[in-house]
Amino acid sequence: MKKLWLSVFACLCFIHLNGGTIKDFQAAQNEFRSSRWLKAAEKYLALEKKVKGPVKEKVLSYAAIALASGRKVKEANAAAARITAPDWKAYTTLRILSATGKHRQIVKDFASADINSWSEDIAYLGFFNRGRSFFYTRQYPRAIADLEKCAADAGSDNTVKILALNSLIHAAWQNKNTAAAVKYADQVIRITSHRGFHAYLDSCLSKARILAQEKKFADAEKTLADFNRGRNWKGGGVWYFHYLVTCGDVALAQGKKAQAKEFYNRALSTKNVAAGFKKPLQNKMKSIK
Amino acid sequence: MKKSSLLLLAGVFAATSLAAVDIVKNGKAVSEIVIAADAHTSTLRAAEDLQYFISKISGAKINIVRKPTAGVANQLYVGESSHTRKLGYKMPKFKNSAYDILVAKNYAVLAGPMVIVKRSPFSTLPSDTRYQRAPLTNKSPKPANYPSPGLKKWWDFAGAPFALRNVGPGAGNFNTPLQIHVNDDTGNWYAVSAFLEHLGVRFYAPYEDGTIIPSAKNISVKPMRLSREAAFGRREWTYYSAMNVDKEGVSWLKRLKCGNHTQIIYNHATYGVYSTREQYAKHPEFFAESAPGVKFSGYPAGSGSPRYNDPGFRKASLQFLRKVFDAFPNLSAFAVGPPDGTVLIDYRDMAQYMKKYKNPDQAAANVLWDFNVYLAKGLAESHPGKTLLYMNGAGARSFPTNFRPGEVDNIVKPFAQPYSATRVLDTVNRAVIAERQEWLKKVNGKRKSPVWDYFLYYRTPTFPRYPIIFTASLQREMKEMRPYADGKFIEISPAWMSEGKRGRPDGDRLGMVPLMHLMVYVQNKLFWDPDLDMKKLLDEYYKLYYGPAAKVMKEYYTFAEKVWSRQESRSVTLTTGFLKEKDVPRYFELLARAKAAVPANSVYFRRIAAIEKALQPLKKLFSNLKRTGALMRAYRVADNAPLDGNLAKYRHGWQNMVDNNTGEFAERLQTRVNAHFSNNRKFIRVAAICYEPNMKGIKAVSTRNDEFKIFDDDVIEVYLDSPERSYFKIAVNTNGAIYDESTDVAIVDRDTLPILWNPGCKAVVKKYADRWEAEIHIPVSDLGKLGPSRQYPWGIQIGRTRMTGKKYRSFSIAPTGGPYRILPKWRNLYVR
Repeated sequence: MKKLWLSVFACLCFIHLNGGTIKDFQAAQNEFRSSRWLKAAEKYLALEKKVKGPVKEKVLSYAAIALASGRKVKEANAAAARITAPDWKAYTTLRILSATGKHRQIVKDFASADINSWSEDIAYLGFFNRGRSFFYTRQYPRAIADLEKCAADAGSDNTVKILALNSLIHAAWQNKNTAAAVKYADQVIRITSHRGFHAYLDSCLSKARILAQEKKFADAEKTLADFNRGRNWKGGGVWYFHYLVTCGDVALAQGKKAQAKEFYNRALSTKNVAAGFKKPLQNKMKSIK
Repeated sequence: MKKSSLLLLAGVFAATSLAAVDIVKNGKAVSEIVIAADAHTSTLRAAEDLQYFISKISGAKINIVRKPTAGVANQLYVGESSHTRKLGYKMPKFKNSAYDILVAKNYAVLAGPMVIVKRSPFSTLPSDTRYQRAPLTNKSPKPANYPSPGLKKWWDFAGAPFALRNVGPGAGNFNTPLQIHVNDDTGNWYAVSAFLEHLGVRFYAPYEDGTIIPSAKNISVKPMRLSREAAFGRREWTYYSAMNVDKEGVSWLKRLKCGNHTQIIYNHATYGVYSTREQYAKHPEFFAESAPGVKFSGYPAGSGSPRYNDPGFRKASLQFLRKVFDAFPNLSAFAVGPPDGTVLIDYRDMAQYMKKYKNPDQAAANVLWDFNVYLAKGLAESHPGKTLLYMNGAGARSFPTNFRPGEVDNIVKPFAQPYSATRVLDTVNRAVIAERQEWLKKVNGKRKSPVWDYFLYYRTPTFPRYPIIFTASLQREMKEMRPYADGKFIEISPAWMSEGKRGRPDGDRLGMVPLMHLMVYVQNKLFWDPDLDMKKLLDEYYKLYYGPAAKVMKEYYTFAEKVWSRQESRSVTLTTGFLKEKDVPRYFELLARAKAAVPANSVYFRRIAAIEKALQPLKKLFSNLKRTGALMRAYRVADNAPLDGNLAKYRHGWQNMVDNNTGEFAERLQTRVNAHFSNNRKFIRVAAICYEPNMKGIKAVSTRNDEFKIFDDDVIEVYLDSPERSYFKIAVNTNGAIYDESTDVAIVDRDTLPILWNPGCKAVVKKYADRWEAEIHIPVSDLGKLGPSRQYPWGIQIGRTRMTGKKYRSFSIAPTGGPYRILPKWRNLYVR
């Protein structure tokens, strides 16, 4: 009857926040998600004084990224300088450079960085940011390698996954690999939870354009029909405009000028679209004989 | 003389006309301690105790010698010897544990019957056990020295590769520092203790500050004869492996006159017959199956369960039983007990017995009884005079209806009770007595029954730290037991279990001494005299142990016993339970007053402060029950909804988990969960979708239920508590293995161990390329009848622990910033 019962709970948590601090963290996150960068940074920096260990690193990193997004680069770099974990420090620096559009600098400083060794929470974001910098500096094969890695490791972070795949579509297209570009677009289209996300919309329309370029008009039209199914544009919006322009482009590529003009005219009449989008279309219409 | 089985042969003689025997005079020794040349080690320990405490009383050190020294005026003989025989001393003929003190002329004889068990000629090494155990799952390589010489000797003796688990001469652990078996009946030591008590020493608690030692420059004892026989011959305590190493703790128990007059083994000995790697390889038919080709995992997981009706297993069990009695001739009774945990019966035998007996518990009990009758008959042929102890367990508690009067007369039913402490409840007490009487009317063997008892048990660091005082109930129990029981085998918790303290520099110790010592002391006094004057005993304790604070501490203990004796549930929740929120400040107010009544840094102060310190977690008990988490609605699910892993049927109430440490939404490792309640209120279903970028590398080792190693895997953990019950915990990994346990005191009382709460939880887990999904079915009848509603919500926490990847992560629906089990943070579950 001598029962040896293992009663010891394995308390594996090595970082703890108390209830109030968890609320503070969530409040800062809400500001960040709402793009209120400086308020978010202020809250993260206030929280930083209350926490320690890995959470402190995370809080400082988030503060630095918020500051950089709010154009407070000097303060952002100061916050990043206080991070001690090498992977979090490198990641934060990468994000600050990315937020300020310094893609050449990223390519220069991070081309050989061992992002794989970073904490998995930030590694996929590291690949994303570096991949995009490779893309913007026209180093497409390297961009594709990084962005594929990001998409594979993004797990349920569909926002980042779609952004990466969207960049992959364009990188592959630029790299003259249209089959791969269509494959990436199909991956995006399968993520039905984000049908209103700009990168999703762009990916769908890009696929239609690529197919039209490949003279696969039926597939292009089907792509556009699928894209439009169930949407209520309410007669306006920039993505409705882009959709109509793409429809017109696909028709024009098939030599259906009248149909193309009809789409372009509908596009020009859409509401809530900046004039800057419409002017090139007007020029294009003039060139159609 | 009281009407008692205690035999007070002679009282203390006033004998004013006779000269007293001087032991110490003016701080100088005028006596010596004499033991036999071949005295047993325990007699030497008794002599050392006498020497030590006389020195502490008077400052004088008296020598221990093997024969009287010329010129030394007086002798204290510890134990019988040629010297006591020369004096004409004869010990009374005792039938049980006893002691005898004779003070006359210039000597005292302190002696008692000694039942000393020889050390087993067989032994097993931890490496043997590690290799042998849990044969269904154990893949560990064979140690180089396997079987060890001691185990090989046992195999040769027994004629089969039986394990030595739970088998021995019946004398308990061998305490290395003391070099004695802890359950040896050490009459000489009892006599010394009684003599020291006569001098005013009181062994109220072990370790520092535990003993009352008077102070005197002169010690002399008037001529007297004091002989006592114990009311109960079995006075056995264990706090597991600590018994091997804890010198002070075991010495304390010996000073309280613990030990066994007869040797029995009442344990899960069937493990020894079937549950080894060798037996599994040779006799897989010994293992019971739950379905064709599916062997029970058993407890501990992988141990399997025996098939009691297998002819080969029965034959092997009888061989084992006989060999145990051959190996240990002193052993009077033995149980070939089922494995720990629920009694599991092979599905084929169950089907056969169910045809006749209908009820599963009855059918299982009858299978077990048939097995024991077979053994008893075989034992009667080979070992007349020896007794088989009938051991049942959860799942087979019914009285066997296949019992046939007169069929066997060498079976005795030992009795088990989860806790003496809960017999304060009249309902519990009545049920215990009724069950025993049913057995005693029919199965009344030739000897008294042993009783197994968890007594009172602060079993884990999270076990509520309310005071548990039940002196009146315990005395009532011991009086009730006296006609049919030979005593108790009591399990109490070592410090590593109750306080979570492992690796103390002085080795493991008895746990929670400040809260437990008084009840252990009282129990040991009642073993010797169930009719003792409890008021007198307690008043003396208050006075001697707490000095100027005696009055307040009496108030404290009286209040504690009153609270514990309330006829309400032992499950303390916000709305139910014997303990009320207003009781808590009362305890601390009394202790504060007690501390104020004694000088700071006095021993009294330290004793009171130790209780106060041990009780500190009590201050958080009620605040911990007040949940601040948000409401969470459980939607309804049909009573017959299939458990098939298809989560589409759970359409409503999906919640996203957040990082348990920061509250951050985990974009990359999203986890969505919901809870649905059946219309008939019998079960709750928890559905979980766990996104996982690394499905190929997912951590999933545990494949069987109730393996603690499941917490090294990726798991979903569900925690539930209710207005009537403390929390329950269910964990499921991606293999679908389940770990479930209860922390509710009443449920643990019923099931005997937290992990033995097995209400029938089930889970279906499906794995996809990017996620795994779990559908978890949890029967909830044990959570009581109140709620879950807005008025009586249940507490719920659902966590996801991820061990896959570079570092451990945890997510939950109610982030705690620490372990999941911080109850105030949990969500409030309700159903419309």
